[in-house]
Amino acid sequence: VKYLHLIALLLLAHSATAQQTRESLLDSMEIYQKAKKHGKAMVFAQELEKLLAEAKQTNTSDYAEVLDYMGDEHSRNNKYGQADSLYRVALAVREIIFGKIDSNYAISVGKLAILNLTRSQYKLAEPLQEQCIDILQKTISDI
Amino acid sequence: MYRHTSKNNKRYIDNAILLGLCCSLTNNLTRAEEILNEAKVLTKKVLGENTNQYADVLKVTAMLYNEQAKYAQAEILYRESARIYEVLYKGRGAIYTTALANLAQGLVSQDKFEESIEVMEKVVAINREGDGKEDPNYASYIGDLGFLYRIVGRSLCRGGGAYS
Repeated sequence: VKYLHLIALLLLAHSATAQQTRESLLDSMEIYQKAKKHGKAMVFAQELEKLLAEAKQTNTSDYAEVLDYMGDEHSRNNKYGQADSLYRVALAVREIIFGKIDSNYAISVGKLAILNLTRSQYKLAEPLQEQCIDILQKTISDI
Repeated sequence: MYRHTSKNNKRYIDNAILLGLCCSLTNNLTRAEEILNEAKVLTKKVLGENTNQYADVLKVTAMLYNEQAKYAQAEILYRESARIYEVLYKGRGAIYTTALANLAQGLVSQDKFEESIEVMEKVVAINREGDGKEDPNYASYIGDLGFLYRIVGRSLCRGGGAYS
């Protein structure tokens, strides 16, 4: 953990521009995420979300990715309402970027389905998962 | 359009299995069977039989059969999925022990209590010996085994196996 933190700080220290800072935060978040240090990763995710919102870069894949990660964390901590809100914003962002017939959008729909499955709301999960499969069928050429 | 890649197929298969599970849980059994059959064929063709995905699709299909009271068919699939997980996880870990516990549950549905006890004793033994001790269901497995002992008229102390 000590070394991970050092790497994260070095990444941040060497980022000269706002864009580099955001990239460093994303890298740091991913480093902690891979190391399963979720508390630390969440700190970087929240910071990155704030910076992207301030820079009006909310219609980007990075923004959707950060929201998804924050949603995953809330879901892991049984904060399903907060996770749902974050996943829905990420879904809306992906709709703007990729449109509704796209595998990235499908995976985002699938995340909402899994969240509802986790909270035992099966009737809500089923149509979402059906929508996810329908989009994947249309976007993967060899199914 | 997406290119033909195993990653895309795997993504589709994972989501098809999840849809099968959703439909089973909402009692939409016809759709569940349809999508799980499709996932099974595709998994076998694309990823092969000794894979997590193939074991998963068998397990969810077995749950569906159990729901439809097709217990004998469910048992076959539970056994096959447990066999694959055993190979993949070298007979250890929560995924394997959960598969065995599912099999034990399937055996109970057919009143095969002695066979179910054998399987549950194995589940408890694995959990007690190895890293499966971390399995969050360990306590409930012990409870299930105790319940099975009571059904067949054994006590926990005289039960033999894991509790002797």
